[in-house]
Amino acid sequence: MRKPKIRELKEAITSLFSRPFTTDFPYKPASVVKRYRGKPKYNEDICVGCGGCFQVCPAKAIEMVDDLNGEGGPTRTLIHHPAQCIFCGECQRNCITKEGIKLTTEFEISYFDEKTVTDSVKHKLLVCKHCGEVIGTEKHIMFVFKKLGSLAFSQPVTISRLMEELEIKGAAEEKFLPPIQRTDMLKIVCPKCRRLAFITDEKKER
Amino acid sequence: MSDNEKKKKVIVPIGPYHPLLEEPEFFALYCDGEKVVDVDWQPGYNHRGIEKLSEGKHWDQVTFLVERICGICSTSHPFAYCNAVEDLVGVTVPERAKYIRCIIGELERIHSHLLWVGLAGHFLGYNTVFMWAWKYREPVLDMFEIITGNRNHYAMFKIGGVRRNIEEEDMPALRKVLKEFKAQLEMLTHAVLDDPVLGARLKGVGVLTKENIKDFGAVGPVARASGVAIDVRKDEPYAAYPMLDFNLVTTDNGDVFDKAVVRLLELFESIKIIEQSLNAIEGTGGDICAEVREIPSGEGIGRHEAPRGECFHFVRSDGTNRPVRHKIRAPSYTNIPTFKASCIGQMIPDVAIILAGVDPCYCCTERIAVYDACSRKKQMYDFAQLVEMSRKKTEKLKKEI
Repeated sequence: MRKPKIRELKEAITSLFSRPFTTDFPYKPASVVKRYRGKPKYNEDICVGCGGCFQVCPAKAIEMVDDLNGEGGPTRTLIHHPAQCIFCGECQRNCITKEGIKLTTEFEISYFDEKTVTDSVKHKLLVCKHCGEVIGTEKHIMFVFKKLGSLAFSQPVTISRLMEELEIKGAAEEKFLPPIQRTDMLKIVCPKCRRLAFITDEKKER
Repeated sequence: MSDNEKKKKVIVPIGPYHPLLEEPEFFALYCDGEKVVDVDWQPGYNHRGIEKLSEGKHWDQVTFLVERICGICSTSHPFAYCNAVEDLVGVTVPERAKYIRCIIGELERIHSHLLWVGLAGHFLGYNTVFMWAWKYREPVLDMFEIITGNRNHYAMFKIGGVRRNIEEEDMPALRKVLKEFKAQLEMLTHAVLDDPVLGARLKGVGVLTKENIKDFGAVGPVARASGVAIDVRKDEPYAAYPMLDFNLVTTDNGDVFDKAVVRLLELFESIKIIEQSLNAIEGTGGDICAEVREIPSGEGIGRHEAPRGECFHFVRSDGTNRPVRHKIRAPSYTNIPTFKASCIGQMIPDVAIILAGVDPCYCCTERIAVYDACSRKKQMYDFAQLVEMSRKKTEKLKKEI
């Protein structure tokens, strides 16, 4: 009966003279560990806008908006909504560039207006010059080009895009003259239109 | 009990709103004065449709979904799910990943059981126990943050292994926390188990016999407290458990006190398991994840000994990237009906601690109403009042002893 009391008293006295377990958080910045999983952030220079993070997000916290009729050409915006985010790190793990989106150690994401905390990244879109279908972002095509190396020359879209980038006049510069024909394969067209161009013969009949 | 007899009794409904756990429940206690004579249980409120949601997610995404079934045992569900999918695929998990899985699973058991001990103390009016247990729990949660990046929802599990490695630089910190925690736990265990008031208050309350356990199919610490030695870690070893040396804690009485004993002593076993696992992986490199490219069609079953008992997952695949069927059975589902055996014949102030003894979520008793069936008079009790009644009884006992 006596022994437990002494033991508890010892703990009570230690607790009395030890620092409170709580921290002065709002007044002093709280320290977080190095590997803390906080709010994900896009790196605008590295992100290529492939939309992989949008596809793998289990909580659907990443929104992908393709604006085809915007001023200054079609654009793709990737928006991260921290309110839906579960901070699992899947976006970072599945990023094709490895560093396009990264979890930061930031955790203070309470807000009155959601726009103050959302993080977004905007990319120029490459659309099919024949039907207007989305092919991918310009940066993504160039990323694929660099990754493929010499193999990329078998891909008309990447090579045409590269010529555009280098301001070399090529088949891509020429205008489409309907109906679609074989030579249009070398222009910036979506896979569907390229197939259509491939099966069109010289007499412009299918 | 006939309907006519039921009408004469006072009905005390408990529930149904219960925002935390996977089984929101509603209890109606039929009371004769202060004595409970019958219990009705109605599950099914707040259905979240996790199983259906799972059918719309990729295999890899489901781990995050099932992790969010429960905030306390948030690694048991991914553990069982990964066991199920690995059973279906037939992949061998790397050794290091197996040990890391065990470390995470046991750390979770520590924080879950400490949470229970603290809350049980809180319900009985022992707020010191509550404060201490939760204080000791804090370094454990900090360890989780260092290892996995979050205090809860560790996102560690992946089909074929784990997502993050336990870095060598974190090992000394983990060992230090374990060492300190062991001393604190010894103090807490003795303080709780030697206390004469707690003994008088909890011994013989909410007794479940071996037959009761077998009838209701109860699992986990509830079953072990009644002398039924069932534990998935021993019965059907998975992950690194067959390579680890630990004991199964069982007691014979089956009352709330014994459930506390089982949980407290299990913590020492958990510490033992973590220490052995750390010894096994320290200094040895190796893969932490086996590559799983495709999930073939078929069926898989996975089990894990969660802090509350056996957690069961079943998945069926048709060869696509999503499960076509995912069945989950959490341990509380079989543990909660045991109230039918343990609550009858007890007083209302004891019911709070009996309900808590099984370790479901306590929010199930958030709201209480007393109905007098004859006069149609309704008296609402909230959870605080129920706890207050429980505390008053402890106070009374304290004066007597």
